[in-house]
Amino acid sequence: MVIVITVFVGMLVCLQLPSLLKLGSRRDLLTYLILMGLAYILMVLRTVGVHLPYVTSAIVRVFKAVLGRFI
Amino acid sequence: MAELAQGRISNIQLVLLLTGFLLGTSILILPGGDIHPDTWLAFLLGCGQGLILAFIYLALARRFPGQTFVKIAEAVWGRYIGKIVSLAFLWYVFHAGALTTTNFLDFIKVSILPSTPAMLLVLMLVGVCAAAVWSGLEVITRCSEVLVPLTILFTLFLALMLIPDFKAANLQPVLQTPLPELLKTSVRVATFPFGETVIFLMILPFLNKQNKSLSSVVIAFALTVFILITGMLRTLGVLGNVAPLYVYPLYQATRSIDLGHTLTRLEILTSINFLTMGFIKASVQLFAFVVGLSQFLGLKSDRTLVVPAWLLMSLLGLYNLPGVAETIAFTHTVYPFYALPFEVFIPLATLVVAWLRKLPREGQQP
Repeated sequence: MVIVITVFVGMLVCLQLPSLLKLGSRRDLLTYLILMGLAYILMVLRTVGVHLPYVTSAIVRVFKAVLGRFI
Repeated sequence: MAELAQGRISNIQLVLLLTGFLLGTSILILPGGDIHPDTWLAFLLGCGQGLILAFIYLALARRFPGQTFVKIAEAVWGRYIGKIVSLAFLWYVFHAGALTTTNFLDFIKVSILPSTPAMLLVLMLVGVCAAAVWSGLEVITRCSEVLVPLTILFTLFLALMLIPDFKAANLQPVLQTPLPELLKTSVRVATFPFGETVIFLMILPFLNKQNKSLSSVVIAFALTVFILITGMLRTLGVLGNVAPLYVYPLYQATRSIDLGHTLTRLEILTSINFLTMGFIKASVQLFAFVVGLSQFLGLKSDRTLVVPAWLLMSLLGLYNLPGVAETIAFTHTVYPFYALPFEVFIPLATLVVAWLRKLPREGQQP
């Protein structure tokens, strides 16, 4: 499954990279690569079964701790 | 001018886009969290409160014509605080998009494709939205021109088909809900879905006639509340007291349609309504996030971020909440408090500060 994800993300990068290089903006290229890298890492972690905390559950816990009486 | 927003949207397109956006997830998960004979009243009150919020957003958009909220925040709050305000707003847009994705995913996992891997589903669902965003705002609005009238048609058709199962006694007793309870529900309705209109602060700059936007917003709100009340009444009339026990009562109600054993399984129309309106909503949220983040980071092309935003929004959709029950509980309990700063405080404070500082100044580009 990790191979499938690697190929999938690799394909996406290969498809968009030429237009980004043509654009000639280093900031665009860097932002794209950082965000794609982050997405790739998160996808691989999920695939190999690493449990990451649920984001909204954390928000719920904070709000319940602060506004418990009203919720 | 944003590259993805080539071409302007007309006022009638704004009506349909906003209606599609507001119906988004609320066409399946009824806002407010309660279904009882007085819910229609809470919907009307919530719509009224939502309109007050919309006036604030429109006032802000008219004060800074042609500017998205990211630019407005920077002009009003200054460079550094403006960046923090913009970042908070962009987080809200991104998270709201991910919540829409989670709702999509939950519904499909529970009702249609329980065995398909969640990641595959979510990537495909948001992928369609990403394709629309990549094509630009005009494509999203043209999709809404086709899909929203169809949704209204399907909703009315389903309401007609449910007449044989409809029991008027289920709609009684009327006006028995205590006022505080009713107001509480109406505030929930105001924050979800009506307050989410704040995301349109990223869309309104691309409207061709800003001065007519108020009438478009009022019509869109009226259409939405009409569809929601129709859906709520038909669900309550068919299911009665057991309606709140179902995860998706609107879907459940349409399952009971059976006209001469010929017209059956019409719940597929409810699914189509949800998927198409969810597509409009998620596309608008993804568009707003992509355009906002590229302006925030000062990128040359806003198309750069479409693919990464697609993947990250899909992933946050997977990492939002552990299950359907938690998602619906969050929508009805914590979300109204969570959304309050983004839907009320930030836009209102920005408008007040802009007014106090007399911004934008004469001859000064905001």
